[in-house]
Amino acid sequence: MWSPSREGCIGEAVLGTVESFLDTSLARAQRIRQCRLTGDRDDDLLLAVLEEVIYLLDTAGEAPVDVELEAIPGGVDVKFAMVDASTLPQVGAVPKAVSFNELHLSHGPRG
Amino acid sequence: MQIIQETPYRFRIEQEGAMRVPGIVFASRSLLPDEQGDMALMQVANVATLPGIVHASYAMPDVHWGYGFPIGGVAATDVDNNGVVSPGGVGFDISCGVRLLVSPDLDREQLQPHIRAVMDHLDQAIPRGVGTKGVWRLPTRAALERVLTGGAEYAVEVGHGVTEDLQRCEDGGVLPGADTATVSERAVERGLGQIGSLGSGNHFLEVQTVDSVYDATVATHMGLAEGTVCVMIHTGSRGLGHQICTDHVRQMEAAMTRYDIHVPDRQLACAPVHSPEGQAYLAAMAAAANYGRANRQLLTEATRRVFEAHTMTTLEVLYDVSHNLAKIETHPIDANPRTLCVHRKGATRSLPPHHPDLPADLTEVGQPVLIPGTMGTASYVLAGVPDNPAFFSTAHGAGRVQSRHQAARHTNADVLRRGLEEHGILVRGTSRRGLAEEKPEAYKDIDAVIETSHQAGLARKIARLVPLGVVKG
Repeated sequence: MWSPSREGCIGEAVLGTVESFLDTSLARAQRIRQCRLTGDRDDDLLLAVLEEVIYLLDTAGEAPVDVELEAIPGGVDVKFAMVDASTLPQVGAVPKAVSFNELHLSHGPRG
Repeated sequence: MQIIQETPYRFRIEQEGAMRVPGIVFASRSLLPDEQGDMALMQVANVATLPGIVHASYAMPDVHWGYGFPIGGVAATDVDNNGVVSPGGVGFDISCGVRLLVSPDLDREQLQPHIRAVMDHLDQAIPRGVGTKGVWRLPTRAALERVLTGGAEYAVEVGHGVTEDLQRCEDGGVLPGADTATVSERAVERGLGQIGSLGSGNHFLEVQTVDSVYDATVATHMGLAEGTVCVMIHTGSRGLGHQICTDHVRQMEAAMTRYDIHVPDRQLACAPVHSPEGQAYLAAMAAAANYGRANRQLLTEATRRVFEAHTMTTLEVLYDVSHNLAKIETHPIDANPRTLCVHRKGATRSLPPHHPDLPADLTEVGQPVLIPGTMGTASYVLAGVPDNPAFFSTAHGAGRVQSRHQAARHTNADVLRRGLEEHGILVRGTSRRGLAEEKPEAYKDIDAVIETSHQAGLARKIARLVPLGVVKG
């Protein structure tokens, strides 16, 4: 169990993804990016947020070192605290896409 | 699942339930995936449920678990019989493929005094890793569209290579049928800055030498002899290809119920080839394929410049071939020619001698099949054979046996790098974990995969190449 809330779980997934290929231990956010993402199901929402991270990495060269999510009807409002990814040590293969395999977001017995 | 061994190198998954055809796995007993632990065989059986599939759902000797289709999967659907196209049967990295460059002048001894300088220069010249900006940065969508429709041919037209390069590329370096209207803004944005870049993961650029020759006549025809210096480039369509796959899978998922298609795995989303969604995907896939071909063309140019600077010699293209693509081809089904959509995902096209799609100067020997090994191990050149049993397809590499996570967990990247250097292999990588994830033990034995390909009649061995230096993301 990662978090008592859906938004918390998605946030943990984002930070875990970034930590898989960047050493963020000394990172300091340089700017904030905001977006609104929608999804029919929780799994789709998780997918949409992770895809946004990959898109920003490829186009802006930035990665989030912190994230805040707020539930809205049909989706979430997301605030990413971004750093220039090229300033951080790369520690793993850079992700290019998100697939559904064993990807699911659900309520456990305690949240 | 009932698995029957038909020969020492061929297993059949019996057709049952929703399967429309059997599964056929080309593997030795030791390469056969464990049915319980590795879901690859389940995926082979799932692919056999696709509408319009003919003959069998095939698995190559390096088969392992993937997105919907297994990696190392081959499946053909009859397009005039409700046959579908499935993006999972191509892969996220559309037209990921391999190009082999051959030195007409240098052998290993002659390169030796320059190898360290060449590797250091390649380390600077070959973009890869986080924040990658390719060697050819396009300013606008219009400029990128010319690449998406023109591929390597367009790159050569504007000065990035020579015409002879194209003659040795699958499809002459450009896959027809691309439609840039099917490529999303997001894919374009991701593609603008990355042409002429390597990416990370298992992509690489290797300086190699020919270690063994199995057929001297064919090898000579291809410019290969023991000691010949080569450069192998393994990369694909980068973020643009991944985005196109993502976009079109979504569109197909939404459309599937309209065609009354039900698949056992969401990741097998598909649509009839003749449907608007099917046609849109194939047009976008062609655009991504052309991007991938242009990518390898620009990396060729960057590599040539390094070799010219240090050795005063150049490099020639032996061949450039994809291992993630769906192609519309004609094959005999029950003795009648049928138009098929042949999916090769982590599988390499392997045309026999005298096939009309071969360049004239290779028609006698068959298509060079380029199969990269894993970091620090061998790569192979094979040739296509006439009686290939899987729509002229064969393996593409060694196939993972450990996930990236498993591989990285117990591996010290510095120790790994030193070990490779002790064997005379210079490594230029971007990340330590990335190197650890690519350790040879994480993959199947490439020699076993190639031997099986040879014995199963998929292709025949011509030469074995070993690395002298590796550039990885």
